[in-house]
Amino acid sequence: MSTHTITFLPEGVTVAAAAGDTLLSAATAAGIGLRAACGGKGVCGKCVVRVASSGSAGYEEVLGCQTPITGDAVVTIPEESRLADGHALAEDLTGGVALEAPLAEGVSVELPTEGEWYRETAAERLLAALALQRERFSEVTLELTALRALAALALQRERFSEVTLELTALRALAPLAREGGRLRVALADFDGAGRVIGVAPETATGTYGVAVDLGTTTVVVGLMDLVAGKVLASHAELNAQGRYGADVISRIVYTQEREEAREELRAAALDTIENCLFELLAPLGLSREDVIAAALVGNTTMIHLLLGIDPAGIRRDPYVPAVRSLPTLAAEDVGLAIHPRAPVFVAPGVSSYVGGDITAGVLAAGAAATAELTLFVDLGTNGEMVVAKGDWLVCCSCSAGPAFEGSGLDHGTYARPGAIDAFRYDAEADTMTFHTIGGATPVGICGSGYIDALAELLRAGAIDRRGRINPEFPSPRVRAHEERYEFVLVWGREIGRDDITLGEDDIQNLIRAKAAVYSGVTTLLDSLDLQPSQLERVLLAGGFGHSLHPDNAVAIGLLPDLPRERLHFLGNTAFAGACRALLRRDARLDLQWLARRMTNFELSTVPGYMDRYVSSLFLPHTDLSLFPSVT
Amino acid sequence: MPFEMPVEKWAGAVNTVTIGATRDQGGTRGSTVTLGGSTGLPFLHFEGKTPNRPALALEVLDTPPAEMPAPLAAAIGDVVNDPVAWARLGVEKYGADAICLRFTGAHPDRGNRSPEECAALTKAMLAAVPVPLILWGCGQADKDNDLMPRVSEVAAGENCLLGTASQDNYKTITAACLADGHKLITEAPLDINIQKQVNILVSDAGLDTSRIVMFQVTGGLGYGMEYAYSIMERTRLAALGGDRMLSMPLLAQVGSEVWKAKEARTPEETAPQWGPAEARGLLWETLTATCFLHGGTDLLVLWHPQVIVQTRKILDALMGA
Repeated sequence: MSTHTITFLPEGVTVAAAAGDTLLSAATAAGIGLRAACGGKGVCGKCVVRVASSGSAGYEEVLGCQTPITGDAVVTIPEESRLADGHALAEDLTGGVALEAPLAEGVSVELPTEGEWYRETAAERLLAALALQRERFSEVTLELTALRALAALALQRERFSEVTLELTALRALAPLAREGGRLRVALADFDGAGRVIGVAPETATGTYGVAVDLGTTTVVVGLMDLVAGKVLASHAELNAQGRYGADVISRIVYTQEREEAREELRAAALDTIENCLFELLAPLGLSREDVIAAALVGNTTMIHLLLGIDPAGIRRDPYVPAVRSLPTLAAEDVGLAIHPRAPVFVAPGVSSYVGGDITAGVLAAGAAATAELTLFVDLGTNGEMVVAKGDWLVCCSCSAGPAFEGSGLDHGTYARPGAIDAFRYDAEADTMTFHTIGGATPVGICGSGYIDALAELLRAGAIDRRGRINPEFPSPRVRAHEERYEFVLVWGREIGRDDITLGEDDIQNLIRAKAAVYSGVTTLLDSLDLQPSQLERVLLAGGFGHSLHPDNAVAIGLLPDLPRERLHFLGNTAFAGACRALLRRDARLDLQWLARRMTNFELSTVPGYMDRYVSSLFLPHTDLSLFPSVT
Repeated sequence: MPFEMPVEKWAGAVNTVTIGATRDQGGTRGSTVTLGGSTGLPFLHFEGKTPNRPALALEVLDTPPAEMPAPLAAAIGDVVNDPVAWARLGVEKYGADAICLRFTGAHPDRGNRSPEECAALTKAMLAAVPVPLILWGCGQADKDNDLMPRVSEVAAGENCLLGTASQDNYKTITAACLADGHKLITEAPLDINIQKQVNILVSDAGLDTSRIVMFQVTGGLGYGMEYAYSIMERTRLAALGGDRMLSMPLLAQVGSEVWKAKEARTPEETAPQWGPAEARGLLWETLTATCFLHGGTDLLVLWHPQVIVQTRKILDALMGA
């Protein structure tokens, strides 16, 4: 088998690749992220690269996933084809959440060096010190088992049934024990059992934890100060699993195709988290051992893939995952590069398609806290939604598809610097004003931008209720494209690149996504004999943040026609829920309770769903009377 | 104690649509056909009125199919090659209420007849038969957008029924209807939501809903007839329930669907177990037509002339005549 040298520009990275391998696999081997929403099947058109050739243009544009290597080559990867850094979507929604029995904490103890304790083992002395710290006992027996129990009793309102010393702690303790004095003990909560995972001299460094939102498209990691109880910094990156497929189903399918696939996907997720950790810890000069707790939220498939658990059952009737609720695991067992024995709390999920990210989101959004009838929707690829009233909750996943994350659309992109997230069209002057994230030159349009575009074009009459562009619309922005029409949203000449357009295929894609969400909502409500008008609060979570315009979301029929003050746009609630789990024991217990209480509806088996879906394929809806404020 | 029949009270009714214009109405028709108006479920005369009997139209193709099934060809005879004579046969001998002239020969793959030829045929047809005309395109969107405005124009004032407007292609034909004073058939692929959507789109384009006749693409007996029946029944119930966007009269294409089936077409030699070919196709079409009448169809488009005769007898019985 011959090998060839492939050079990737503009990085200038070279890699040796076997003849017959694809350019996509060579890019992956070179550490370059190439977009591959369809998982390399040649369908999505996102992995376009330019191979230098002797032709007139100097290069040939090909699909990276479909082009085999037949010789040495110089390949330029255009900006649009790259998996770039995600926009930092994380906001600190933990404001006002007080620290209470966090997942791990540093406890200060005085290790006695004199008196009758001097002859006891370091371990016994430590446990006794933990017990004596509270000065609760006048006398302590020397039985190790008793000491364990006493230490537990002494600590924090009987939180723990017992406290054990991890090997890592014992190893650290031994050299310090002879000196005695003040020590810092890292004490972790493993589902109610306390574990001392580390012992160190009393220093000024604090204790830290990480909250990880393992999203299908974007991974967000936040560094939390477990003493002050707040987020210090957060970092977002595109989930490197994206090169194996844009959605959970295509990734599950990939695991069935190759032996190594599960390990590849697991490594990709861990790599992404690792990159974020590096970005967070390095500037603060923190070491891995300083991070003594992690709270992880993600949808069911993401968790299975991260933990190397076979996800096959998720996509097959009766759609049952291998596990819904995990015990707290040790970081080195999971593969996270923080303190090896740090507790990793995984938020429990409900079903194959409603995971811990949703329970965490419901907790953080306070969706279940009140007596108000509340709808919580996570507007991402999986489109999960929860209807809650007090302690009664139902959920479903409507599988909206990645359109709102920009996938499958000509100029679509996830929310990142340069993504257009808002549009306003003045039909009389034929001017389109827009806003980009970070104020940068537009590179594409993200979900909220598309929602605005659809609403504006519908209002202006440039598209009909079916989403067809009106060929007679009096503007040069409407022009023929392939066998249909397209609308020029941004003239390329104004921004120094190609025109940014909206084609009829894109419009149909978006209408299907919004129809899935709306019909999911109405099907769920109908199964409960409720009307949308009865909803008192609608809480929307996802990468849209604050840039989603409620009027436009209603105008296109994405959301029910409700008084706008009932619609609330939250940010990344999954991440906020992960932060809460780090900070508070009751949050961890609440998550377990929520996961058990949420009743999952499998939409694909609910009669009438298809019918509702088809009637939602209209702007705003086939039944116009449902949207009086916009029709 | 005397038994009182429980009677349903309906809030709505099916719209009334008339096709054809007589001399004093600006046309040259000898008769008009009025569709719809029902205030109850089909033929339940004790709880609703059926002011207008469902109508029976004979379909005439401008170019007959390459393989016309033998029993059908025999029933129609040589006139199958002469659309005008074919139409006259249907009206004069078999009493068709209307003629549906379908421009299959205009399809680019099947003869690609020009819009001018189709317009000329339309003129000749109008002169030859006194009944209202249904003018039906070739099924290819771009060609129909050329052809339908032309035939609509030469038939201006005759109040024809033009077919069809679909969700992907409705603007041109709607404009032609508005310009030349015709009625419009809106088409959906056996989906009640899409039917409603097309009606809304056409209405948004300026055509009043009182000028619409609905058409759900159906299958014949053995090929989706029951599903079509369910859709028709749901549509009628929606109309009676007051849904204005589903209150239009309903049309069904019977002949063109039924005669695709092998049970209708196959010669006796090839399938002796299926019995005499002459009766087979006729029965297949009659049964489908009858089922659709029960579903609430107001206008049936038929192929076999004898089916008109048989269906009329069934209708007489159903109407209590």
